[in-house]
Amino acid sequence: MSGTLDVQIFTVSFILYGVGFVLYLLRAALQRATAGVIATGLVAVGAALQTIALGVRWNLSGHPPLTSMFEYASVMSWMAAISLVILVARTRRFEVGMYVSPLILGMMAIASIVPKEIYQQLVPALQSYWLHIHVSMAALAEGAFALSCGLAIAYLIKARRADAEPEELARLDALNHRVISIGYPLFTLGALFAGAIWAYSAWGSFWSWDPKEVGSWIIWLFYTGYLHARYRRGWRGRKAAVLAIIGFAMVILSFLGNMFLGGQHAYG
Amino acid sequence: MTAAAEREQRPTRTGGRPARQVWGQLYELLSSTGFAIAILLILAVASILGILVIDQLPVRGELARVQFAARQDEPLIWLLSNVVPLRPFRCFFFQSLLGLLSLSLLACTIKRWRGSWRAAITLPAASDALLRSRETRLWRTRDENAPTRVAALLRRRLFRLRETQITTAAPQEVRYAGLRFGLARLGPVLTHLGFLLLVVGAIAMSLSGRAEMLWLRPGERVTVPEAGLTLELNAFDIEVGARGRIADYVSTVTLYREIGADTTAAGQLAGEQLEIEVNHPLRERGFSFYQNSYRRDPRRLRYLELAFDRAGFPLPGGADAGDDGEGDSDPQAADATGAPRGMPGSRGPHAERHDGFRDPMTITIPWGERVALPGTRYAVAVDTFLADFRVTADGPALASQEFANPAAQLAIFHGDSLAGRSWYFLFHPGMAVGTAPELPVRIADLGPEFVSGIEIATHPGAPWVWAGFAVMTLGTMLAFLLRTERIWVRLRRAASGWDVAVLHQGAAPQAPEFARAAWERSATPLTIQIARALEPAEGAPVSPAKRRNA
Repeated sequence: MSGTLDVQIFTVSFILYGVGFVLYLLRAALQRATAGVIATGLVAVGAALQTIALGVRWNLSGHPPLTSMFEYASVMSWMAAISLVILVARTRRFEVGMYVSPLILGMMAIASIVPKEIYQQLVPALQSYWLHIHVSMAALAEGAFALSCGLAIAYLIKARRADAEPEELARLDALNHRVISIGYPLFTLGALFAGAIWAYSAWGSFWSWDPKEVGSWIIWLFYTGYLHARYRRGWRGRKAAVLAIIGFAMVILSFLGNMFLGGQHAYG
Repeated sequence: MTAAAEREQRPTRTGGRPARQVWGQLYELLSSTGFAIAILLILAVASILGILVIDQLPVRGELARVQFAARQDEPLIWLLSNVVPLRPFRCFFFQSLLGLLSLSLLACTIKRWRGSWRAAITLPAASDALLRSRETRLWRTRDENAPTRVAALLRRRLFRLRETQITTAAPQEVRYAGLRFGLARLGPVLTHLGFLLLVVGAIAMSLSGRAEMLWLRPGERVTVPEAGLTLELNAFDIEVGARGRIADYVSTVTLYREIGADTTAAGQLAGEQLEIEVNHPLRERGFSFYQNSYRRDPRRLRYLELAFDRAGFPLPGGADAGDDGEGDSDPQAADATGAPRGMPGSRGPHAERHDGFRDPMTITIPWGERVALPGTRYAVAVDTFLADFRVTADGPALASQEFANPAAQLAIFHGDSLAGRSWYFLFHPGMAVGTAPELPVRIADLGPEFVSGIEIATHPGAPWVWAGFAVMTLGTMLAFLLRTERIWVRLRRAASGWDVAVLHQGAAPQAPEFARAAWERSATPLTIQIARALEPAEGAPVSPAKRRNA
């Protein structure tokens, strides 16, 4: 293992999440409840290690690890892992891990392929307390959207089975909606409002149609549409699940968009 | 009826349909969810197209337009320029979409306001009809203090209660209607209202806002006549942090404010010294001054580092100080030839001699200062600098803002008199063009002067945007953090204790894994809590239907 200490710990977390995913699969294949418990434990340990990794990185750089694509992807996966552990601990739905852990692994994989250099000196625009508010809330919201995507996949797979219990599906659907109901206000207030207020101080306008801003705007429009469809049109179950998956795909596209479209949010 | 009378009656109808009905239908359309979703979808697609257009070309500024026009032979560029507007987010189509969204938000807000307000404050009575609901739970308790206990429990849970006691008729009854977090019902409507304010502010800024980028050198000033402000840049400083990364850049400015009509020259006023920094703009009289950027000044340096060979300079007596056998000609004589030496293509020996210094030394020449070359009788000053030197018909000129071919015209002094001026080039160290004597000097390094990039902007819609943020934040928090709950409790006096009926709305049933008894799987946590407080005496709580069947 190479790299700074935080990257080494990050790699260990990555491996633990991977093993956790395999155990979730085994749980489903062999119907062994213990495998689910161990898998969740491994994800919890992975998340704890990732917490340490982020802390080490914060200490090394002197600023919160929210300023590069590696750091953002890492924080996003960390948030999703913590959410998964809390969700499984509270609801005992181990099967959700099988669908959410691959998404966490995907985010970790993205983080692992982008540059991981530590910059102690932040560019002037990032030297603001809004960095903490804006980026952490956005990462938390996107972590929730990742979780909702996993729940939606779980729903769709369960709904295909002939022996699917309607009550169980309804609970999964309600849980997914609750997760989005946490992510959406966080995204609205953190990613959009806090970002716009910061941009007003740093760049001279609330909104400048930067690629990342447009990406966030589209994500927000989409989830707004989702909520309207759910509340006013009664879109639940399968339709809502499909929308949740598309929503998270948009989150990933917006995240990766920086690589191709650049813009004012392309910090590294 | 005459024809004229018939004509008079016709205007009450428009196209066979009452005008009011048309407006009503338009209102229904604008306030419908389908329309809102359609607008959101179209906006999303238009935004994706817009960002693709921006990605294909830098759409800001006239230069970008020219560059764009020059790329017309590329199919995608041709398509974009002929189909999509150059400034996609400011074009009429996009602004119209935002306008339609505003109308939709306005219609939704108006339509839902009254209902939301009513739902937020009203407490329907605990009627028998209501309590026949499927979600109602019925049981009997022996607790004589049931009414007091229920009221206390609900008040502890922040319910606003309305109590009705029926003591005149038998059996005695106490009914409670409770409402918790009723204001949460205003959340969605406030969110719509806040978003409407945001969009209105955004449209106002887009249509009448102004942003202008200024590049200021220290000492330069800019006047904003509309605001009666003059800004003078005193200094521009760049702080460099770890690994040479820029830590900060700050403009120190003097702001002169005109007061009334008496003041005509801003410079006559006492100015206030202020700093403009990234993340800390200066706001004054509706104008904002942002430290937006900076760049190297293409026409000026902070200092120039000059390398020279002391051994190659003519000795005070006239002989060459070096031992290469090539004597330096008298500077004045060199000038007398009339032709600038070292022109490209004719600089052979001059260039070669500068390549290998035997007694090299480097000195720093600050801009605007004359500095003596130690050990010689010469002194040098930087006259002119061009970051991208090109020779044109009119003489040397700046080809671009880039440091592509930095060149400095140095004034060479011999003693106190000017010996001549020549251009020296950073990337062509052997070349010297001009009337100065041939000397073993070359530019070793440049200390660029920086120009501060200050953006002056107005945000006419900002108050709307701030109001939108506030209202929408409040609405979002009410809608998502709080949940309106209603509860109806009826306590009817029984032979021993009370018959209890509880209907709780606005909360999900208890999660099955946390249910202690079978009946709890379909009851809300609060209902379970009430049942635990008023212990059921004869069996578990049941729904009205089950009670009837029993």
